[in-house]
Amino acid sequence: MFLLSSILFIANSIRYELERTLNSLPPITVQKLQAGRHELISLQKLDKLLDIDGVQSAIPRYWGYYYFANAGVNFSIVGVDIFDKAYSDILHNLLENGTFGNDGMLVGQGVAKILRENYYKEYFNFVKSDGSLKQVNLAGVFDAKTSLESNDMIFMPKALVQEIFDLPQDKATDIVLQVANKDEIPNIIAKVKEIYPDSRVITKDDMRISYQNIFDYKSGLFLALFIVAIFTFFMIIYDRASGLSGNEKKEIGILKALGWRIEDILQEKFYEAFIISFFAFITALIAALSFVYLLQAPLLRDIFMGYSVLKSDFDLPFTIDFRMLSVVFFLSVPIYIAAIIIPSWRVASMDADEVMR
Amino acid sequence: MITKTIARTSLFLLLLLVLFFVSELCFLYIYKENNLHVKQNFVQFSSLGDLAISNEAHFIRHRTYADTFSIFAISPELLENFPSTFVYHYPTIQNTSKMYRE
Repeated sequence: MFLLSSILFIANSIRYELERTLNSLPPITVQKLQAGRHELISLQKLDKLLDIDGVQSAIPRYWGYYYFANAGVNFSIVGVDIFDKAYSDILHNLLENGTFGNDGMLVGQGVAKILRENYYKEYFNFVKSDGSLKQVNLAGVFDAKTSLESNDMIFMPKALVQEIFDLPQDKATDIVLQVANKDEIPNIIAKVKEIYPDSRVITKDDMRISYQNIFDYKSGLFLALFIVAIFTFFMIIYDRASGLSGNEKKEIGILKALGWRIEDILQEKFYEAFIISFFAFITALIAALSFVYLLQAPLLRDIFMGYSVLKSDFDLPFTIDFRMLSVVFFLSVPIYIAAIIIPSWRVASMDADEVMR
Repeated sequence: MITKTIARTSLFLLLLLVLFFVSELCFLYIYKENNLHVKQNFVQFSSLGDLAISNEAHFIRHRTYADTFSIFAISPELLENFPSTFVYHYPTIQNTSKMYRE
C-alpha cells in the first residue's frame, strides 16, 4: 500500500504541476515544417500573422538544445529580449542570485552544478557551429523552487543564442501568438494554416493531450508495479481466506462453547480485521506522504528521472486525489475484512465440539 | 481474541493516527501550495512547457515540439538516422577502442 500510494502521489503531483503550469504558456505556437521536420521560421511571416483578426501579439522565440558532450547532457538554451520590461519584473522574483546583462547567462540549478563539476565557475565556452568558442559569463542562478522546470535551462540575450546556434538574422525557432479571446483559437489556427500550409500550429490543448500520452506511455511501468503490489496482497488474502489456523479455530470453538452466537463472533472478527487493515492503510498513507513530499521520494524518483545526468530537486506540489485514495482503500480494507470474516463464519457455523476436536 | 483494554487502546491509537494523518495533510497543503506561483511565473518567462526530469530525452523535455519519431531517441548520444534506427554519437573525449566488444 505504501509503494502503491507513493507512486500514485508522485504521478498525481507531476500531472497537477504540468496542468497548472500549462496555463502560463502562450496559447498558440507556430512552427515551420520542411520535409516533415521542424525548420527555422522566417520573421517576414510576423506581419501577416499579426494581421489575423484576434491575434494580440506575435513574438519570435529563439531556443534550442545544446549538447554538452563532456557531461553527456542536453541544455535547453532560450534567448530572451533583455530590454523587455515584462521580463525584468518576473526575473526579479525568480533569481536566487545575480542580475541579467548583455553578455551573461542565467542558468538552472542543475546546469550550474554540471558547469562547476567541469571547472566552469564564472563562465562557459560554447562551441559555435564553425568550431570557434564563445565565452559567456555566468550571471545568475535560478531559484531552487523552480528546479523542476528550470534545471536544464540556460537563458541568454537572443543575440548570443543567434551567434552560438548560427541562426540567420531573419529567422527564429518558432513564433508564439497571444490571443485575446480563447474562443477564437480554432479560427486563428485555420487562418494560419490557410496562409502558411507548411506550418505546424501547436495549442495548449495539443500539449495537454501530449502530456496525457506521456502518462499513458509511462503507465505501463506503474501498472507493472501495481500488479506486483496487488499480487502480493492477494497472496496474503488467499492465505487468510483458504482457512483459519488451528489456534483461531480453537478460539472460535471456545467462544461458542461459552455461549457466543455466530453474529457475536463475526462482529468481534470484523472489529479485529477493521482495526488491523485500517491501521495499515492510514500508516501507509502517512508514510507515503512524508516519503514523497517531505523526503522528495528517494529511490522512487529515479523511476521518473531515468538515467538523467542533471538530477533536479523533486520538490513536487502537494495535491490529493480522493478518487485515488478511495481506490486504494477499497482494494485493501474491505477485501482484507472479507478474507477474515468469511472463513470465520464458516468455522463459527459448525458445532463447538466439532471445531475444538 | 481482543480484550476490552486492547480494543480501547487500539481505537485510541487509530484515532491518534487519523489525527496525525489529517494534520499532515493540512501541513502539506499550507506549506506546499506556495511554490506553484513561482513555477508558473517561470513558465511564463520561458514560454516553454514540460518538466526537466528526463532532460536527456528530447521527447520528455519538450515532446510537443519534437519530431514525430523522436520518441524513439532515448538518449542524446543516439542521433536519429532513420525513424527506427540510431547512430551512436560518443563524446570526443571517450576512448573508442573500449566501446567495441569482440
